[in-house]
Amino acid sequence: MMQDGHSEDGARRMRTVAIMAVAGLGAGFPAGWIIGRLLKMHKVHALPWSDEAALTIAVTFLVCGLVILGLSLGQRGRAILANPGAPDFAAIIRPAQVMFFRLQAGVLILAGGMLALPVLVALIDDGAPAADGTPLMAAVLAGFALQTWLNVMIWRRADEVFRRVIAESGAASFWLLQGAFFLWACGVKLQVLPEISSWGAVSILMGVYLILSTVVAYRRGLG
Amino acid sequence: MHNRLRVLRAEREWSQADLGERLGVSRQAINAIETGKHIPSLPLVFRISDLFEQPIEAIFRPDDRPYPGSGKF
Repeated sequence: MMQDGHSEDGARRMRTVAIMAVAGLGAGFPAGWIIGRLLKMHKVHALPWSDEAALTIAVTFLVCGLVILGLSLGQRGRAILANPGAPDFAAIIRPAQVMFFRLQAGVLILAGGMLALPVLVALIDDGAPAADGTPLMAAVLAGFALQTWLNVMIWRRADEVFRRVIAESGAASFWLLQGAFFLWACGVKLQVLPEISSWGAVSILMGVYLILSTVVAYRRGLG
Repeated sequence: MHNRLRVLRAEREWSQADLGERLGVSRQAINAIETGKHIPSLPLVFRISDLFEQPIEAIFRPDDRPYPGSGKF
């Protein structure tokens, strides 16, 4: 009986992952196609790898955030967020839980916006540095402060499993990236590897964190 | 770590969300504990014990030895 329950959970989670993969393809393919067309039409100059990575991660954050926010607005959507594998549409989702979903959506939307902004500004200016980046930097700082506050709210409202996922994702990212960046920096010093920019380092960090947090959440049963 | 949470919950016909509500944690947390993906903290273990009115060792076991009084897992 216990084994059956585990099998059901596994099948449910695999179904959820498959649905999310299809949804990701559905969102990613048109976005990639449009960018490719713009590149071919020379409307957009070719981006360095770090900008492409940052934009990809930013779009992922934005799409996830907007989907969560949209689902949190209706009863059926809230039921899906509460239990994606087997939503109970008759269940009452408490206001505190709805707020938790919206806090997560807010963090993701802000993260996507802040990550995309510097790249998009450079795109609009055709790669040239902005004439006066101070107002945009102020906007990023304000967004960062708001996101930090939202993250604190999430931590305070989260139960022990969510907190563990957050802590383990941070620890795993630090462990992996401190080693990788140290080795890369050694390679640069010894002139066997090329220099990477600070923006490149941020793009790598965000990408690694995104992957590791997804893996940790899945392993802890939050997938 | 093995536990009888799923059995105890089923006996009362509670969903994972129902149990989570009673314990002040998310449905996902209950699922993670039931499937052995998360070992609950001591305060949560005591809350579970109080809720089901059973000693901790009757709900949680560090290995697959039989639970006291149950004769089976």
